Amino acid sequence: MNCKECRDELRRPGAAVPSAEALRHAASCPACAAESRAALLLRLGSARDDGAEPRPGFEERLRRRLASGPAPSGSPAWNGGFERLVRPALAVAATLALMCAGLYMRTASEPGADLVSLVESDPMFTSLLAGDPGSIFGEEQGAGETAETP
Amino acid sequence: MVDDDASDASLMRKVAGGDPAAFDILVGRWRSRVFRLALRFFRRPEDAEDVAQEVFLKLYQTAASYRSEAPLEHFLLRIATNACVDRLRESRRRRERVLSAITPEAGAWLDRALSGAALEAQEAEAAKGLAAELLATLPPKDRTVLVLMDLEGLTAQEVAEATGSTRAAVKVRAMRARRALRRIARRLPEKGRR
Repeated sequence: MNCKECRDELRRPGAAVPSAEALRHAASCPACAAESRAALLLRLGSARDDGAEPRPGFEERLRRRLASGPAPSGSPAWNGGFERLVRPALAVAATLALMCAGLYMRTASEPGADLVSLVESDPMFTSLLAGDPGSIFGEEQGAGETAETP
Repeated sequence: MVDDDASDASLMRKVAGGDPAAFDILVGRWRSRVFRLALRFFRRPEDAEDVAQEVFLKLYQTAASYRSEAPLEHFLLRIATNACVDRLRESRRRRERVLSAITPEAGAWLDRALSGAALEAQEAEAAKGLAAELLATLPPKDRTVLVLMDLEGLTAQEVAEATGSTRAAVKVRAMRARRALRRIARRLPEKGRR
């Protein structure tokens, strides 16, 4: 038996315990031994009597609970819509809200960070308004004049 | 008058219309399946029965939303899975607490059981109880995926439909749960020899 066969055997539903062959392989293979212990832990902790039945009077007790509960409604039991659509949408909305809040806090903490103050205080806008594009490209005030001189 | 041999779909239509006799037939038909699934997660039969009743109550209340093109078993499995996950969330245990509470004797029994050795009835029962407590430390959805795939024999796609997830997400959950189980099982011998 190889490792794949052993693991398939360990995960085969229905078997209460793995076959002797699988256990023999696991005894000589540390990786499969760990897998075997995990599989047995799951089987042991989830063991049940395959012929188990609810106690007598199950229907009667259910009927009593039914009588005290709400009547049938059209609300869907399939809550996959929540899992698949609403939850991711909420996550995206929360992320966006956090990003906006972060940006707001950053800009609010910088005095004069709004557009009007930026235009008023930023040298680039000042030079543009003054009709001096040279400062945008980082040129010295006198450099352009020198270049134009033959 | 409701026909005992009526299909699940036609019975569900009657249940949606408030027919209690149709509901009784469905309960009789599916009671054992739902109860036995709940027993995989809850060792006490009373707890498993309580979950099974919640499943049928939900089935009754949501009968109108059942689409007859899907087998009723899928619809029921989905309700049952949700009910089990909700209940498991309430009773989830902290792993460190469970591991530290293991007595050397019980740890040794469980260790032997995990090695495939046969145990006396009393030891086997104690080992089962301890294993169930350790499983209760897994995230409920991870545990559910593992039980449905490895013990109930469902495919990843079927589990995805039952849990409202995707096939890829189910596979990742199963892988994560198996890794967690390996980790727990590895830590037992030390506890057993304490």
